[in-house]
Amino acid sequence: MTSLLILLIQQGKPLQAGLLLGFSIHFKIYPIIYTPTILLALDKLYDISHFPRTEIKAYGDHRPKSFTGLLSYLNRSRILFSIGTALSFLTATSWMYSLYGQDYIQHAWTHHFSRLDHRHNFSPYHLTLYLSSALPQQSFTITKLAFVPQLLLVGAVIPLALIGKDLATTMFAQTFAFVAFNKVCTSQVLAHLFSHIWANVVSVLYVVLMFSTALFAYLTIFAFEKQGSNSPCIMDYRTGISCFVGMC
Amino acid sequence: MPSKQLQSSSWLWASTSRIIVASTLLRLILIIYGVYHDAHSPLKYTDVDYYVFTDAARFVHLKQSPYLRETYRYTPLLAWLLIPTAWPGMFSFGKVVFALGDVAAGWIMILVLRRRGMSAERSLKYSSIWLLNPMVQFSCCAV
Repeated sequence: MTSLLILLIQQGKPLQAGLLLGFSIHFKIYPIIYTPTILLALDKLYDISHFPRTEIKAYGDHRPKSFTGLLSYLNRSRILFSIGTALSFLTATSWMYSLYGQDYIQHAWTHHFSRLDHRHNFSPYHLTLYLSSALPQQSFTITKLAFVPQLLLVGAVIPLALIGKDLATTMFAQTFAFVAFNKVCTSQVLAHLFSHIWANVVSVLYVVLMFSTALFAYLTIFAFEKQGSNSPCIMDYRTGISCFVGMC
Repeated sequence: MPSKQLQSSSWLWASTSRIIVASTLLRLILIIYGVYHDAHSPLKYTDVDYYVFTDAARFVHLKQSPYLRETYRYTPLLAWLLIPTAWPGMFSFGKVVFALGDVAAGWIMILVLRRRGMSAERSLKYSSIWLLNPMVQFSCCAV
């Protein structure tokens, strides 16, 4: 999907690229992170199919000075791309909704946003999620904040910081950050992550992230003690730490 | 002779079709191995998610909602795509579909790199990180 998306952008077909992206978002949700990146890349030069076809720098020469840059810069390819994305996403999603109704919304959408999975989880938040799952239902937990660094980084910081850089590289950076900062990271995802060319960089970064879980664990324990409960979870905490050391 | 050495070191990278065929064959072998392994071992080669997909496809095949399968949290289109897995003897059909998509992705990578002015041999080497990577193959063939 992603490779085809890059090819379509490369061939100067923003409408088709949009149609593909919209359908991909319907299918897997996460490709939505590529929307700002591609919108930024489809600049005025792209519009007149004047883009350097070099190895180092492919697309996106346009450097907006502020966030408004994107909005004040409506052009043909951006409009076509947006129409394509909206069209295919809405068509597929409303079609499925008309067939399966509330069941579809509940399972394919709501579930993914409210999911708290503390099993088979290799994410840096795994220990916090595991420990807090033992606590009675709380209105607010630190894990609810997990999406803040993730979405900020993936949806805004990386696309803006890498304007003018290669499109595929930017998308790789986004995907990587998305996985690294995700609340849920199954072993399958981890295997995929390690299988790539950056495997060595990834493993170093991963270990760093794993160590950051210790910090979250301490925060959770701190929350425990503040509640004044001598909780049965302390045992779990020790098991968790030994598992953690074992994984490293 | 240096020229002969050069030739022999680059035969794998000499043609796109060779890489595509090799990666397709490797995936097919893994899918067939998966069928054999699952029949003989209690520890399944096939991933749990694949059972979720195919169970949902079976519900759709019986004109029921895929969401009757617990933990099916995807678009019904996925279950539709996998309806053939509900037919007798076609359980691995979905794996073939995923593997072909996987190979297609690798092939598009070659096209993307070529369009950027990369030499044929270099683009084949880079895309082989995807196409011939055993980790990618295992995760696509077990799903």
